[in-house]
Amino acid sequence: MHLRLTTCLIVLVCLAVSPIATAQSTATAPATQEPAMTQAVLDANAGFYAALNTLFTGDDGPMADVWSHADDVTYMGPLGASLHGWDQVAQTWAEQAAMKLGGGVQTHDVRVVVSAGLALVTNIEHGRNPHTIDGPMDVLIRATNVYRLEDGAWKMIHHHTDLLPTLVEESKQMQGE
Amino acid sequence: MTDDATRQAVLAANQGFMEALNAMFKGDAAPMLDVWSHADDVTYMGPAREYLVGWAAIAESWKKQAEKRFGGWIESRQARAVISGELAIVTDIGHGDNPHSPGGDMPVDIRATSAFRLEGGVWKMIHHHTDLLLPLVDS
Repeated sequence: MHLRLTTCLIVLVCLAVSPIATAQSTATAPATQEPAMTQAVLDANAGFYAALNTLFTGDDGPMADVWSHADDVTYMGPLGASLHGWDQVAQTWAEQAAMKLGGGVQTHDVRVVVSAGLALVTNIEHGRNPHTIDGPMDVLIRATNVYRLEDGAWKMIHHHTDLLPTLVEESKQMQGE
Repeated sequence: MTDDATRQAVLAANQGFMEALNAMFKGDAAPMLDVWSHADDVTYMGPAREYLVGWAAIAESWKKQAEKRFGGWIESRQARAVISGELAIVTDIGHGDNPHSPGGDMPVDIRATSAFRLEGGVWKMIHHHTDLLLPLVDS
């Protein structure tokens, strides 16, 4: 059975009501078998969002640290596009740091599925960036985050969020399109 | 390292999901119910902005989508898999068209992330996240 080898945990970090429709089965969640590993993945996820909030100040250093630098990492962020490989992903983070959007986001409804060496995290990103080309921007988007255990550390290998049209346009302007 | 047979099995599971979508557009939800894990920890972030947790809520969503009979088609354009043990992540671009969406003809070109878990020797979908399709969000 997969449950013998796969540690599964549903974590409801915050029950804040949001306009994003959510629904949850009334059935019980699978038993937690390795809470330490799940906690390590949650810590990695918190580290990603701490790095994101630092990036909004213009500093992409922590973001480079939380990501795997492998050639198979992928990124589908709020600016659009589908990026592949650390070189492309590092470039977009540098671009986003240069936007100096300010403000910050926090996570709601965080859920984790952990297997040997790979972890899936889903959550809501909720916050505000005051310095976009259109002025202050409220953020309320869904995110899928994937982490891989590399040399004992959980490193991000994929990030997918819904689009933020204001940032799609700002990115196009920065690239002269 | 992931062997070629495992990678092909995961990509075949992703293709099976695409085929289930195309059946669903015609009103048949059965293939979709078959490709998903029926566990309580599965999650779905679909194009109408929903965030559903647990098989009961997700099965209901697919049945309702099938009833709408959007018609048309979708195909995988850029599937990439990362696999470790019993968990696999597939990133993809979904490209197609639904002629009978709530806003009329709806071209589809969206990014997708799917997760699969090996259950009883079969790769079953445990998560799907797509970008939004605004006609579906507003309907």
